Amino acid sequence: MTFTERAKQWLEQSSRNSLGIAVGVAVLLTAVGGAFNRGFVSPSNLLNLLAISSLLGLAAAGQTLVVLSGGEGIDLSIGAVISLSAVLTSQISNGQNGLLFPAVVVTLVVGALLGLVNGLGIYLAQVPPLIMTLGMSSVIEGIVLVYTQGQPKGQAPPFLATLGTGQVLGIPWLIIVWAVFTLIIWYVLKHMVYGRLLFLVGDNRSAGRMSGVPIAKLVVGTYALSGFFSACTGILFLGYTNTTYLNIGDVYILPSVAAVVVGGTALSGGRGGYIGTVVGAILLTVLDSLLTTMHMGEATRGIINGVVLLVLLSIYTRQPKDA
Amino acid sequence: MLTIEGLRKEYGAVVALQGASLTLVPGTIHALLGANGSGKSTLVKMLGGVVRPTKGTIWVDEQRLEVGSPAHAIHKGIAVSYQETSLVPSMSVADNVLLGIEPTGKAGYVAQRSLRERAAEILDQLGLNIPPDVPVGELPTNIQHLLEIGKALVKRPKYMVLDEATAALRREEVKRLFSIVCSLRDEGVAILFVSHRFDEVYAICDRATVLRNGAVVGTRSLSNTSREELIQDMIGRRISLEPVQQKTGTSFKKQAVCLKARSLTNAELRGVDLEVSAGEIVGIGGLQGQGQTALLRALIGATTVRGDLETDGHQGLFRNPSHAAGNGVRFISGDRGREGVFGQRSIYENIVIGRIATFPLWKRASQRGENQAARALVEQLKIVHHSLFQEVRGLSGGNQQKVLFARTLASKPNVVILDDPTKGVDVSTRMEIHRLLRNLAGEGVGLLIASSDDEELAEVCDRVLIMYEGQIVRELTGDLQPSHITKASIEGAQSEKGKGAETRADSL
Repeated sequence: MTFTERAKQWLEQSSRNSLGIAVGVAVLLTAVGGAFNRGFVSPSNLLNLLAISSLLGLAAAGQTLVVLSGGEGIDLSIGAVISLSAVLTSQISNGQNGLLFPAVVVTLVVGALLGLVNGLGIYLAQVPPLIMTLGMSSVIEGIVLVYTQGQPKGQAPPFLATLGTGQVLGIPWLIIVWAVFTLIIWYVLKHMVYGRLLFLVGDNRSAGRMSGVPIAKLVVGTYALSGFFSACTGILFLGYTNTTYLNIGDVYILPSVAAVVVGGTALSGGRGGYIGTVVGAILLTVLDSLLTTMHMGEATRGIINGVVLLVLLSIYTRQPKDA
Repeated sequence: MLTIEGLRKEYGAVVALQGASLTLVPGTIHALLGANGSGKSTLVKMLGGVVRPTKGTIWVDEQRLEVGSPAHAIHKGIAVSYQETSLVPSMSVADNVLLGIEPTGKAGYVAQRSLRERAAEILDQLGLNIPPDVPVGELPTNIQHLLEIGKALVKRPKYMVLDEATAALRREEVKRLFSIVCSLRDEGVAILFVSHRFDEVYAICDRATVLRNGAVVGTRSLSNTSREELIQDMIGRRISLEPVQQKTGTSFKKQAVCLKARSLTNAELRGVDLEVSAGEIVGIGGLQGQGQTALLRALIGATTVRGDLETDGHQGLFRNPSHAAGNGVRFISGDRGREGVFGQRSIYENIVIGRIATFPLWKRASQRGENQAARALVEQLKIVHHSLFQEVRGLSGGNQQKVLFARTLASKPNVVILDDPTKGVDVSTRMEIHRLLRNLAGEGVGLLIASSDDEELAEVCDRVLIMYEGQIVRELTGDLQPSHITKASIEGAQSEKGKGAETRADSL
């Protein structure tokens, strides 16, 4: 077998295993960073990279579910819900541990409700997800502006700040929190009725309906979950930054979609999973950090980021010939 | 003069039309008759240039019609009103009627004013009082069918084809259509009138060509042909296959009724009553599009319907298919690709969904031994596969259909409702599926099967209900023969006197 034949075969086979490619690329990028600067692969920097990834990873958790659910599912209100959640938690708790619990409860409920409204608009009113969540996004941003009068007050209670920046046995709390979330989401997708049906309904919604799946509950519930995960992200983000400002969540809108797609979840729904998104979030964070380490300008970083995404996706979408 | 010569169409191994010939004479109305699957629609689509013939020629005024070119067919003066309509739902009435032949201005833009004027003319001719700006998708079906006819009329054709044009129309609309058609005939237009309504055929047609199993049986002058002769031509002599398995032959009156519907009514159904007993297989036959699919969908709550429903342990209509499934009523759609399989997911997942679809979403789905359970079903149904975890879209149509059966078996149903269960599967799979259906009934499940294949109904059913225009017009019991079912279907079209009367098949 010649080298090109072998390369071709590898590409064919690996295109079925996008997760493997993503892991490979993430490791490769880390190695490149290490070659460029030894400090890049030091344990503390790697843990720091993981901690930063965890916020993107959590923001992309809801996105993963929404994309998996099919029907051109996408949630562009993730950024706005994150911003609102950080503001809500900081204003309600006002930097006091004692008020943290009610603040978190209110924030999570509001996040889930906003997601629920998304779901209802999409399922009942048949608004395309892209439009519905984009519209929701600007509504929420407007509400935040009115609520804060442009000047968000308060700060993270000490407990939350510890969760956002502190460590236990040298491991950042953020990573531990993310690991717990990952485990739960993995279990839900793999073993719970909701998760199992989500993949099937995402593949073919009409077939799901005719097989007796309660589509309305499943789809609307998925958008509510996305709102819930965004709220979680917003709360942790507040802990990470300690104070908040307007539209802090905006930086996550498109990266959350990118992490999902780089992780091998098909935008058409029904294929992929959260482990892929975890790898996708790490890959994107490492890439961004690497380019910063190499002192690249804003423009160059943008270009390279884009090129890496496009190359990965073009490999994933190569369909095996027998399918 | 339009002459069709030896027209043949093959779809893979299936021969839809095997060398049909006929001649349309200007100034006459020519009927085209035939039972389900006799090749009428294929012939019509070839005239319109939508389907390419495998063999054969269409001559229009001594010139050969280019195959597979709708534009050339229109150019040669052929206009077709299709049974399933060729309208664009989102476009306006005027744009639809003049689609493809829009009047253009000097620079090539569409001349809106003249477009609206011409559309208004046609609407007027059809007696339609609707604004030309509304999207067609918002109009009721009878109006849409009239617009489909208008779309043909506006082309001022020399040859006009009407495929089941009257099926969705009201009585007064049919009258109006007939006066238009007759005046066209008097102007020298040749009309091909495809219909299953004998009254209409006798009212306006001069000659009739009968198709059976894709071949022309003959062309007769209607003035000296009786209905019985036409029906005989349409049915012919059929070879009846031996039943796969002896039917139980028990009287189901004694068995518990597991599905009972009363006066189901909606846009497509006009008061349907039916009962299915445990262990019974009830068939729904009739000519195509008489409301069979609508009935199945109404039963599982997939469409809105009025009426009453009773199943084992549930009283009232189902809100949606999930509600039906939760009460043990499962559906297998005739549209396997769109509403049946999950193509990108594994055989395993496609089967397990039968068990878990109606569970609470937050419950644990995984179960010890569920792999073995799925594997057992795959073996039992002899699904040809290389792995339980391969994607279903890689399987053949027949094996995909078997996966749907495995899913239904996994759900442990009380009632199974099936739409064309052997559509597009090969002969041996078809026999296996028939055996499966009998076995399922043997276990006490009630089955309701709609099929356009009368041999299939005769083979597997204990009882066959014939539908016509949204009603059940006949019930056949006893020794079922495919030809009896076909005859009843066609006669249902002839008159509705049979409604409610229980006709024993052997007395036919």
